Amino acid sequence: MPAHPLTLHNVVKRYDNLQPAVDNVSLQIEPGEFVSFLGPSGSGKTTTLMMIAGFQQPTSGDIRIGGRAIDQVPPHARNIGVVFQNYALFPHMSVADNVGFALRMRGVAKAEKARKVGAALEMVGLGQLAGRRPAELSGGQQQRVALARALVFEPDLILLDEPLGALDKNMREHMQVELKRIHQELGVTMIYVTHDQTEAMTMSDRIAVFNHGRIEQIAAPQEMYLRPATRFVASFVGDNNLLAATSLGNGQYRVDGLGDLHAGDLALPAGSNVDLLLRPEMIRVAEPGAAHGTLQVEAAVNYGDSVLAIGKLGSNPLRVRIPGPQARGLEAGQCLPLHWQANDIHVIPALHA
Amino acid sequence: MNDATSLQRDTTLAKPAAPNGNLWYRLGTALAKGPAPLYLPAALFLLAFFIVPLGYVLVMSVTEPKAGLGNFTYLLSSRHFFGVLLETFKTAAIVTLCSVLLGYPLAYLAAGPARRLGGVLLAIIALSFWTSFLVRTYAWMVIFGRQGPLSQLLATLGWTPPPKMLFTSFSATVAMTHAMVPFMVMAMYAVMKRIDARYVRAAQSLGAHPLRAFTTVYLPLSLPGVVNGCTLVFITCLGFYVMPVLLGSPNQQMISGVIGDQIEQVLDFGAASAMSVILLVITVALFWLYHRFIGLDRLWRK
Amino acid sequence: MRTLTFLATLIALFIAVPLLIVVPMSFSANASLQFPPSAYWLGNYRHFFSDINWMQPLFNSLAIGAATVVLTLLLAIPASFALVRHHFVGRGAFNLLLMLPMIVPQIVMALGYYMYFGSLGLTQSFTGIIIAHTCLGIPVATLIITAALKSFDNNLERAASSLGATPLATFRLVTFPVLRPAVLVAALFSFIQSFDETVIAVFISGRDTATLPRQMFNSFRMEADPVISAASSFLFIMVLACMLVPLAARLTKRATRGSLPAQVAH
Repeated sequence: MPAHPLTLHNVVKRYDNLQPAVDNVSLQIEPGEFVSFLGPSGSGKTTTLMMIAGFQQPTSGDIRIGGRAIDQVPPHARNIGVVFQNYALFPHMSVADNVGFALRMRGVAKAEKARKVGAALEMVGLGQLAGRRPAELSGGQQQRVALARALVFEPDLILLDEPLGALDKNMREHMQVELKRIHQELGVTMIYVTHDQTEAMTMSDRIAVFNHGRIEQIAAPQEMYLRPATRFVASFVGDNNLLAATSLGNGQYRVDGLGDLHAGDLALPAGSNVDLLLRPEMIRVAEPGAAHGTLQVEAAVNYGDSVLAIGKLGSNPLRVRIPGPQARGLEAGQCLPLHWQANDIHVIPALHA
Repeated sequence: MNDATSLQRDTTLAKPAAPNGNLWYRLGTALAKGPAPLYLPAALFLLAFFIVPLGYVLVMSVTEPKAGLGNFTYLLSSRHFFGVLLETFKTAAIVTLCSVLLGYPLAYLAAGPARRLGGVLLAIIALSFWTSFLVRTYAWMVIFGRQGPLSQLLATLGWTPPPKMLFTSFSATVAMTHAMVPFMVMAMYAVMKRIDARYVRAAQSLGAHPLRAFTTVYLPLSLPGVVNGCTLVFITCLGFYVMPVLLGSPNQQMISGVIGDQIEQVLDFGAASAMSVILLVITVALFWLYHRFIGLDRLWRK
Repeated sequence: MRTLTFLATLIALFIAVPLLIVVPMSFSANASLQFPPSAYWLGNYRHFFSDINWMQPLFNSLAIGAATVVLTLLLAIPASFALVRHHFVGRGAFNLLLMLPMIVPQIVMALGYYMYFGSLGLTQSFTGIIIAHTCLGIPVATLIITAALKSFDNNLERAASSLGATPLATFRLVTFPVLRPAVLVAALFSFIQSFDETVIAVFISGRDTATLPRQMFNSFRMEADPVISAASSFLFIMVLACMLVPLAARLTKRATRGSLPAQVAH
């Protein structure tokens, strides 16, 4: 039976008469995709995940797999793997029993079960720990057991709720690579909840950015980085410089304190309020005379291979990342001539929230 | 990707078989959903076998031997009964006070710095806590008896004949104190354990003499535990039956003993019920006062 | 500090010494309560274990205790789940109802049961005592189990559910095993409480259904029977053993678990 796309249509979750936790979320996830739900705490990403898993019921809207509504299907019949942030390994069972639990529920024969459990543990690199108890394992090992447990019964969909949140940096990066590898090997659909934009950017096929219960944008990482749809997405994903501006029509935008800029990607009718996005690495040091603007440097942070110059462009705060050689001797108080490509400016229309 | 040891896409592992019509399944789902099947058994049981008997007592107090408040008017104007109440409160107060004085140092050490000693103290307290009142009664009968160690000690010190100590208000009070100290210690320990040692150290580093640091910092912080313990012990003493009856003086009974007499010997259920109601009202009032100012859940936090 | 330690030691002795008298006294050959005894023998125990007037109540207490535990758990476990996992109208009142047996003085309950069971014909019966003891046991059992439930990781149940376990299977395979230590503690406390319970037993148990505490209580009042020393000792040792068993179990479990494994290369 081939895997089916997961569709959420106008899903709303309301706890009381205040702001809904999930506010009209719609999306479609194709089989085999790795999609991240990215957003701050309370943005609705975990609640949406819980509804897909069946642990919470939507107030309205529906959730379908391959066209079949699963709202009424209890969690134990949905055949979806879930990996929790605190691992939730059964403390009274061994690693092997934990991993084999799903198979036991499905009445799989002992020999077959042992084989599959062994294969799952091998896949996460924990083959020799089958007899241990969860309490005897490190955080990283527990997380991998939780993963093995969720994929041993070969679900079509695996949900991961900030699974790497409790690990230290090294372990986290290592696990990110492992997860990606497993995803590629198995080709299973994965939905990954996180608040860490780097994680989302490096692992996902597509990212869905959540804010106040809504999805502000779903796009591939690169697309989202270069062309964020809203101010929130722009500020959440990557370092940014947002210049408030008014459009003059014809791709011209008037920026306070700076003058008129030409932006290549979007021409809005005159009078609209926009934010102009200019990523720090898109800005170059200019030859004096060929500058679009001058940065009053207030601070220069040395990263070794580059320098982050923080200051003001006109009246707008701006950050520029300058490669090492060009940044020699840069100090606060200096003026830095800058220029950029018009096509590198991304126009973000102001949303009426 | 697929070798013999890796996971192979096995379509037989699709949806697990959940026989929806199965009785156990329906039972499990019903229990998981609604709270009623969960709380009804205990609620009905307690209503039928706890509230109803209590109701009997209330009803009996105003219907035996004849309807009306006769029992209450008699009791509340009886000097004898007043004396019983006084004796009860007096004993409870003395026991509570002694328990605090004896228990505080133990709880302090058990919760505080001394690791080894604290462990030993806790073990002794635990041992005492779990000892039945009857066993204690026997021990005190031996100790206070005419041939017990105390009598012998007093005799060698020159007090002959040694005084009668058993079956007096004194022996009952001492035995009750001995029984209540563990409760007091537990209550105080629970609060003291949570007092951060750094507070006292901070006070000392600011120039306070150790005793001063104790009285101004530690003592106030430990007071909630003291209040908890006192409430628990005082209320328990009010209703105490076994030890006062077996070790106390028949002329200076506490209220529980008197109620017991009414049931067993006088067979006056009206009076017994009325006395019980009075005892109950006092007990409930004290608990309510505690709840009002502190909150009952604090008392039951183990 | 040293005076404090000295003081505490004195107080601790005051607490401990009376209890330590009980066992030696049970070996006393004196007919009176002379301490220290002038002679020792095992006669008290021989009389205790061969006298039906003591053995019957002992057996009764054990049986009543066991039945009380079962009934208490059957009522307290669901009640705890209702309190912790669900919000319902009257939850506060229900909580209060569950705690009431701890508040009401036992003599009052004894009177109530005497009259109530009297009209039901349940005085002097096992059923009556078991019912009364269950009421007394519910508060403590509920406190213990609700505490365990509150610290229970709900994700464990969600995980089991996501892996295909029905609600009943989840309870049987995950929830109950994890709660089992608390349930066992609640069972132990309920048993000891029932075994030790004196006041109500004195008033509503009959000659054939007498409990050990009732027998001891009457013995105290009637005659100065030396066998009571053996009975007291026995009661003391038995409760002590009950408390030490879980402690010993936990210590042996820790010993067989072994040390943490060396870090496996990631």
